[in-house]
Amino acid sequence: MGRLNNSELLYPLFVTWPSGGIQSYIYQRVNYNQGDYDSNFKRWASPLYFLTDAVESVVRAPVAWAESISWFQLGQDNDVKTIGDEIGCVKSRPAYSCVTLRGRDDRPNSDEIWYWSPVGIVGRVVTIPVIDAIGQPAWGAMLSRTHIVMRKPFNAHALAQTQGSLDGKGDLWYLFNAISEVINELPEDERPAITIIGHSMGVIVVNQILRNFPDLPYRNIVFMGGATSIRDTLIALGRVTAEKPRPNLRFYNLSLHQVAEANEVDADFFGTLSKGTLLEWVDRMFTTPATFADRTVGKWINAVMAHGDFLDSRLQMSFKRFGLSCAEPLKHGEFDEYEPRPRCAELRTPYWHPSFWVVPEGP
Amino acid sequence: MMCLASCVKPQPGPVTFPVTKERVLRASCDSPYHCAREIEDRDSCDRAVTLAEKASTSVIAINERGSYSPVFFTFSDKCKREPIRQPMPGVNCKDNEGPIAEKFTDCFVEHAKDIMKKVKSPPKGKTYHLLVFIHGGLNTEQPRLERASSTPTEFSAMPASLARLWAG
Repeated sequence: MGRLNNSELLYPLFVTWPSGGIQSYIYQRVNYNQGDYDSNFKRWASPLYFLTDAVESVVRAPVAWAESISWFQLGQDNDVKTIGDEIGCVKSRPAYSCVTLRGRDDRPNSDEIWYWSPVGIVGRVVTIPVIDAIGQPAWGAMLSRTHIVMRKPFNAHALAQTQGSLDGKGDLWYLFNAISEVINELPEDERPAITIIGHSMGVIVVNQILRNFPDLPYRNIVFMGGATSIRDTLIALGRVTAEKPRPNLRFYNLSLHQVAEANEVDADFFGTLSKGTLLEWVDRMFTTPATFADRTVGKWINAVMAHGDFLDSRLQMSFKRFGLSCAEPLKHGEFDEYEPRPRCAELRTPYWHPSFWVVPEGP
Repeated sequence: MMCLASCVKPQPGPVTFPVTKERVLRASCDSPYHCAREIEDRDSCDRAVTLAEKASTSVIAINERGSYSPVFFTFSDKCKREPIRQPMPGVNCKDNEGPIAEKFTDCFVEHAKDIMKKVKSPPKGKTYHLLVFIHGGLNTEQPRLERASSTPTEFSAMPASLARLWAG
């Protein structure tokens, strides 16, 4: 808890949920069946699923390689540059703002070196079909977990034995219920304001909180590289403003630079994974967006294209695109990093600091 | 593949978070722009305890079934300190009747109420501003607990213009 201004002190609440990738994939294959939990069928049939995934990765390999090449081309596309820079960063859209590059691109050269190295190229020949086969179930399991925090999974076996929590609320729901109860007891001028920040898939959880508890005194809603869809975001924000106008509430949507988004290389894996952030993978590989509004809100290109969808919102909104300096997030996983970056002379601003959410005014 | 057994039937239970010297060091950013480079050995236990005390009322861990997982903050043998434990049925929370998941939920509801009691009673003349953070996917247990436990929240150096922005 730290001093904030003369009358406010910050009280942090950090919610962690099980989001490991490999663990999610195994969980999906041995435990979870069409919304039912502890599925006996799935438990015994899981070897068949693992085997099928292995076969699928081989059979679909040519498609996976071809798609990967097309996505790579998409990342280099002139349209991306035009939408990202010339449409997204113009003054006629006051809610949209971009950190100017001033010729800087501090992304590490080693990423590209690894990516085009023999290790990277041969590695991708193997990993691309494997991720094509197992990525979707892993994503499905992680997605179900973002819902399970608010609504415990249906458990047919427990229900049949009339045991287990039948009201079905996840424990995060109880936390926000406790917050809601206390806030409602307080006079309006003593109610604690709420700043809620989600990173990547955490934004999916945030949207659920907003939908379930729309009346809480939110002051700032901050999405950092949100992996939720534009459609879900519009619904959740619409719920918050449905009952009454919220003049003190601001919504901030933060995105990486579109070049960093499309060309991210995970150096921890020596360039052996396909290029692009998790959001790129979600839009291209893990989901099949029915319309544009089903793409992720955290990608700058998507946020720019969704300009018209957000026009009807009754909220004050701010869409920010970061630049490519080492003082800013250069990769999807870096939004919540704030420690000094090695070999970077500038310091990073922590994600909970308001100056992180807006573009600083030029000199 | 390590989780295969626990993935089959994960039950509510505690997670352990060792508060090591390295973790205390990483959590040592007292203002947005300053992080310590080294911590004296004689200070590290006290700082570990301070970190754990603060984090124990701030970190909320939820498991695969949507149930609360109490976090047990443990210290090195050198510190000779008992772990700081979030409430857990049968350990430091009433062990109600019923299925285990409901016991954990009951315990968590009390824990959440206790947290909110603190939020309801700020120092005189002040109000609390709740900062809720929810991390992203592809995070394994210890790194996500480390990030949640170590994020500093001191703003003594915040310029007035930013404070106004924050305050809306």
